[in-house]
Amino acid sequence: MSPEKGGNNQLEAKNRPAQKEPHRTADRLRIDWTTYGTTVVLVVGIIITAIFQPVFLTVSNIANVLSQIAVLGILTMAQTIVLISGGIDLSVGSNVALSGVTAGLLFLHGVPLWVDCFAALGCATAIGLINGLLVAQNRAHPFIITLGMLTLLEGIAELVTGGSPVNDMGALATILGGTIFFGIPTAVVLLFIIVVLTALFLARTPLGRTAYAIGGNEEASYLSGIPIKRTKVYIYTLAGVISGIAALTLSGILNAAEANIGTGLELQSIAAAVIGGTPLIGGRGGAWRSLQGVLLLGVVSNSLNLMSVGANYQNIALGVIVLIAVMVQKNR
Amino acid sequence: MHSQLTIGLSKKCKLACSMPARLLSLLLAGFFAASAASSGAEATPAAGGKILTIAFMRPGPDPYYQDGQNGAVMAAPSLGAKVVTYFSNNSQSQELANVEDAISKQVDGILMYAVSLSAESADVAKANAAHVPIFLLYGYDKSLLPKVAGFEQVNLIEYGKEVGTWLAKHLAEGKVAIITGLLGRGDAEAYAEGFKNGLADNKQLTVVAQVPGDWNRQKAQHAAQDLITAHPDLKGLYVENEDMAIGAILALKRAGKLSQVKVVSCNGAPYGLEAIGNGEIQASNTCSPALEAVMGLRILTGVIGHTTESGHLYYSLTVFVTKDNIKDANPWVPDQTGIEKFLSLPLLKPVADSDLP
Amino acid sequence: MLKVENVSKQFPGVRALRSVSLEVNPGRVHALVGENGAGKSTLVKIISGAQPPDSGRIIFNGQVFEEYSPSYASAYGISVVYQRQQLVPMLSVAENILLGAQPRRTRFLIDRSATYRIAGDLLNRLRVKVDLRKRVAELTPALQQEIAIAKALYRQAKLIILDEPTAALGPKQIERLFELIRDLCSHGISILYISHHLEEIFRLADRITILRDGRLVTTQSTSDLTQSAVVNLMAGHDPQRVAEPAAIPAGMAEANSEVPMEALVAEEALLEIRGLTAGPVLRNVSLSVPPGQVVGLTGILGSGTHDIAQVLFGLMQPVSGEVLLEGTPFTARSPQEAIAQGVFLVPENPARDGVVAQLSIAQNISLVDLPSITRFGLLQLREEAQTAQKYVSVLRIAAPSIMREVSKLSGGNQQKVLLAKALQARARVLILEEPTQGVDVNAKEEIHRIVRELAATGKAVLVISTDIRDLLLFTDRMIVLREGQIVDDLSAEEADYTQVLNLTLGVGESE
Repeated sequence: MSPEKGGNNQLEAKNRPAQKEPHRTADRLRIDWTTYGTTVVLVVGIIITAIFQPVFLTVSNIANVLSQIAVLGILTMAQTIVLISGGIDLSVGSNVALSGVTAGLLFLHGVPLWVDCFAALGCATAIGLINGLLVAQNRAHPFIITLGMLTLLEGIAELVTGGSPVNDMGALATILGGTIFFGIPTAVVLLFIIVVLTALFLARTPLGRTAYAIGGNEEASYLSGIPIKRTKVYIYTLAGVISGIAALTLSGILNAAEANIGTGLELQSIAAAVIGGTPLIGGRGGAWRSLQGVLLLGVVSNSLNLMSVGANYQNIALGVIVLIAVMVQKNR
Repeated sequence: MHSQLTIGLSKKCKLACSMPARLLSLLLAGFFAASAASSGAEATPAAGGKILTIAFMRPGPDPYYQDGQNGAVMAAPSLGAKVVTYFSNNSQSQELANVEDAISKQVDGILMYAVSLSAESADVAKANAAHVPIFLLYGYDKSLLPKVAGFEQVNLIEYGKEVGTWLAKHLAEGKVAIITGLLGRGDAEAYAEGFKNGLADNKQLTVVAQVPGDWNRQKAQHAAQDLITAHPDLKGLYVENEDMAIGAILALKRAGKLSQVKVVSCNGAPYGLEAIGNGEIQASNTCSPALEAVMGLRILTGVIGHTTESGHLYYSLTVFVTKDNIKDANPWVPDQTGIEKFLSLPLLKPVADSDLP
Repeated sequence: MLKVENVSKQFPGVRALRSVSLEVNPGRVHALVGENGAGKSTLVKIISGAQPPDSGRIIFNGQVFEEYSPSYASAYGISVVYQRQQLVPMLSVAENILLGAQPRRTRFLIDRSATYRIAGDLLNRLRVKVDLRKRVAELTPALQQEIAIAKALYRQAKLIILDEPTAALGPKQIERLFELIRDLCSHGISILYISHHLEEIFRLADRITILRDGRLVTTQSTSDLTQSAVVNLMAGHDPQRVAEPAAIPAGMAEANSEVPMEALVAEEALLEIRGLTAGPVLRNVSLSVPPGQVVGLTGILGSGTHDIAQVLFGLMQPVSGEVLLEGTPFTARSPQEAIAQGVFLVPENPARDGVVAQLSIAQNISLVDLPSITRFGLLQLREEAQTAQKYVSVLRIAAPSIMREVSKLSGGNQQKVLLAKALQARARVLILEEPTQGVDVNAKEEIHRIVRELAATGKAVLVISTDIRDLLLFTDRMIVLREGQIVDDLSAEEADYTQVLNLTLGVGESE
């Protein structure tokens, strides 16, 4: 043994028996704490708010915050999957609007609620499928393709509603808009389920794995025999399905459907994912990380409202906090 | 819908929210030719014997503009005019192209909701050069006053103040909060300022919070949730339009606080009146876009026929409504009788030069 | 001219450099050698200003570096020509050379004609023939490298650092480069030359600095050293161990004996190509690779060797001719179809086209055959780990864990991960493109060994490389291509370097 043992990492690595490590498969489903930045900002934010507004930590307010982030949270899962695969979906917000409006208008015309819900999910899935086909078949960047889709869907939603909101979603308001047990909002439970499923999808399914692969290196994935185009179609379609779930959740929470209700959600979902630690360039990220970003946005907006901070200052505070979260984030 | 009472730049808030979409439509707008459609019943010639052609331009798809347009189209025949409608698709360049198209079709006047303040001066310059009178709904700009047939819009501060005054009278004491629209254009700020002025009549009331709803129902719902959490003893809530108010009411209802909090708003949209009817909104200041457009058309045709002086600002007729006088609200979507009533109302009086904001 | 004095650099957990000193004289070629991870690239980064040292100093032309930034170093006349080019692919040759320092007509307007004139003069001086208006993306790697050198010269470089400059070059181009280097030296420009190719170094360099584990081993005149001495100094062990490489740690050796290579794969294969015409150059090529053989395919760039790989892996469609796999016709319209039929390609540039850097070793290996570890729609991570562990042991992939991100592995280990993928894909025909390019001496020998062992299990292995010497070390046969046609097919025993080189170049056969 040479006296400099331990000086060089590479040698050290070679000498270490390799089979000791790999059995930590449980690591995969656990929250990835490598991006402490958002977590730190989140915790600091919670502490500060709790000091100035003790009501922040009450059960009812926590339930409020969670139900407020439910829709964005669900939508951010859709965005996260697409971002990991190296794409981007700007149409998720308008998808939510159009799918919600589809359900709302059908309900308004007396179609049974469960049919309306399936119609909305079908609409959302179809939009995702079209996105996927266009992205897979075209060389154009998904940014511009889904941007076109955003405008198109917004236009359709405005056309079919004539701009007026549908102000009654029947039982959906009490089911998805209500609570399920112990006063826990149904939307929160739904969010939790979607996040767990997304995490499972990303970590444990072949499609989830290939999403990471093509987001990380599309050429290498192609040379590994992965059907790139088909994978993209699946991924955008899945994002569509999740957007549909978000649409129904939103319709339930608002007891309404509106053509302009998704406006801005696409950018919020991208922001939440990135703040949480799912980068724009693909190949990395995860459900739990993105959820942290959603939580941060939700907590900030809630605490600013609790402290009655005016609108202009709210924007400034939000901007500063987002920048801090991104800066503090560990570079990987 | 969030922006029914804005200064004619109503889509600006959307512009902020979905820049990409706006950018794209801006890009695309250049490729579309001016989109015009002619509609309305046969016009009977006015006293002069000539049927006037009026171009009506709306910036976006919101019902507010759509209803205004319908009002103008329905009223036109009785005023010896026919209306050609244009859609600006929230694009300044599209709007300008529409103005040029209207001018080349030799219309007698233009009645428009402009896309934005910065667009309207270009529109006015184009119309002036062609000697076509142009009347603007919202977007009041004092420097443009001599160049236009007139401006018509709600008196923003007064509109909010009436709501505040009512609440000051009907709420004995306690905490009041405001959920505002998207700041940055002056309207949301003015409503809030007016409301607080009115509320000052009752010293027992305090405004404890003023938080943003950004003309977005979901955001308003969240804001209401947070307000009632921070101030469980809240007594009054002013939400700057009914669309947001309905979101806020749902939040209060779910928190079991709706009976405790008096919600007041403004707009007078059909669903808003419904909410007043069932007691969820206590009071609302209403303004009918159809009436607004009919008045605008009456003034514009008057200017063309030299019976009305040009270059004045007019304040839209508003009706303050509670459960007891819902019928008094001017409907957004009137039938022919409603239009005839609008036509028989006395013409608006111009704002005196000394009172111009 | 350049003096490096007691430079040390520490990264979290690694002491990359420990008190290294060296001196480069004007107009000389100074070689820097060492295994991967020995500290070469860290030293280059410090000299070129990309990173500051923790201690020690750099003196250039008598000036002590006060600040470490690329612009500072380049202002002093130090330029690096990297393995991966730092040119802008979409800009023209001339624009690339003058980029950032173009002559201007006014403050804001670039003088285009002067740009082209200056670039033209410069390339003439270097005797590089190329269309100045061509986009750099369209050029061969060799030309791109020469453009990068021209760019350095335009910036008045006095010291040019060449990092693996011959990695992507054919034999002819290497000669061109050497001429160019000698020409530069005669004008007083110094070269710091980093390469794994010792024969190149012995032809070029005046002095050699050897690094090992971040320490300076020695700096000596080339004339005082032999290639084998350098190898020993680099590896830091005695000659026997070099010949019989990589002592295996106890744990690994054990695992190795548990899973013999033969157990992994036992399929027999025969690849036959008949009358293949494809792409711009390949004309009527026929060849066969029997099971158990390692066949080398060589030729200069553009000779068609690469196109054969493309056809076999479904990346290029043949115009005519057929490919037979164990007697049955083989067609593939995509890598997916090729893999399904038992063909696997390890591409030339593993980091770029082969591995997904963000994924772990295990995830990269399983990527090629996810269905085999999927039960009830879910990936069986334990199975994935076991499979990966097996390959890590057999192929001796040096990593602390199979969860290690591939981006953190050396080139040689990335190459091994790709070989593991080929095994996991149950490939019967294995095509390797430039498998030993840019990997260190030990890794090279390991790859030779693995390839031989794979062939011994009955696979047909086709190695496509421009590194003739390297091919001769581990192939059974050498097929030489020139201008899209096979010019010779000889057993590796009877072939020698010069003969094959001459064949690829078409030299000395017509007499």
